[in-house]
Amino acid sequence: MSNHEKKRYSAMNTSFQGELARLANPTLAATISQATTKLATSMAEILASVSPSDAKWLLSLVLRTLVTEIDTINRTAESAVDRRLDGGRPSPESAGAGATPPSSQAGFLVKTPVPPEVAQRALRDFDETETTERIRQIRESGGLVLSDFYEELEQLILPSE
Amino acid sequence: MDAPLPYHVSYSEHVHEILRALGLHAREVGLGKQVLAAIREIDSRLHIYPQFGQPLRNLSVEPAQLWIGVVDPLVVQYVLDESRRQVMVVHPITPLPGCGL
Repeated sequence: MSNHEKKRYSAMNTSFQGELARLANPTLAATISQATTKLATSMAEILASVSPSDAKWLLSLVLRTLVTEIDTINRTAESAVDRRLDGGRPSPESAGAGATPPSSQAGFLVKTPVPPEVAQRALRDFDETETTERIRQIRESGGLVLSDFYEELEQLILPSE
Repeated sequence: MDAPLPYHVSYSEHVHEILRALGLHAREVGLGKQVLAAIREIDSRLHIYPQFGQPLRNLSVEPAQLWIGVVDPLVVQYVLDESRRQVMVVHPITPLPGCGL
């Protein structure tokens, strides 16, 4: 990160912390501060683990997701206000028409920790010769993609639907 | 901004067979929908962001790494070849311990 970017992020953080300090509830402010710090740390780890071009794309995706989520929250809040003003009649948006669906791409940013015993077992059971052979087979045959067998799995697992 | 090229994700026939057995068992215990959703989610993540898991070790013969990731209720091990933007799922996808599967 360049010095210019560091200064900019530092200024943004100071500004954000200043806004938090204005909250009447110090417990809530502390909770938000901890959550955002944790989120920022996770984001930094993710961005450091990918190439610069992928990092740019991820940041762009995060920003788009945030805008979509904020828009959804705003629409929900507006609908609630409208319902109250209209004496309880549901607005088209609250019924689903025109509502912006939450981004379906945001989920991949969520990392579920691997239980240590699961990782240790995988390492213990790892057989390099077998793995290399399977990689060779995939490289020779091209392997399978999910769409080759997903429908079959779906019919097997959910036969009545 | 253009999205980067997705990773190519391949599964071995062995993994396919294991998934069939796992799917049947999931249906029996009433977790079929969750397992199907997890399979889709795993595939999606591997295409877009295979670094969602954690690296386990480098392979000595191949220029690739073994990774492991969790998408509840499943655990997936995969080989990530970053230079070719290729992901290979060659080990069984297994239930997360304690998930009821």
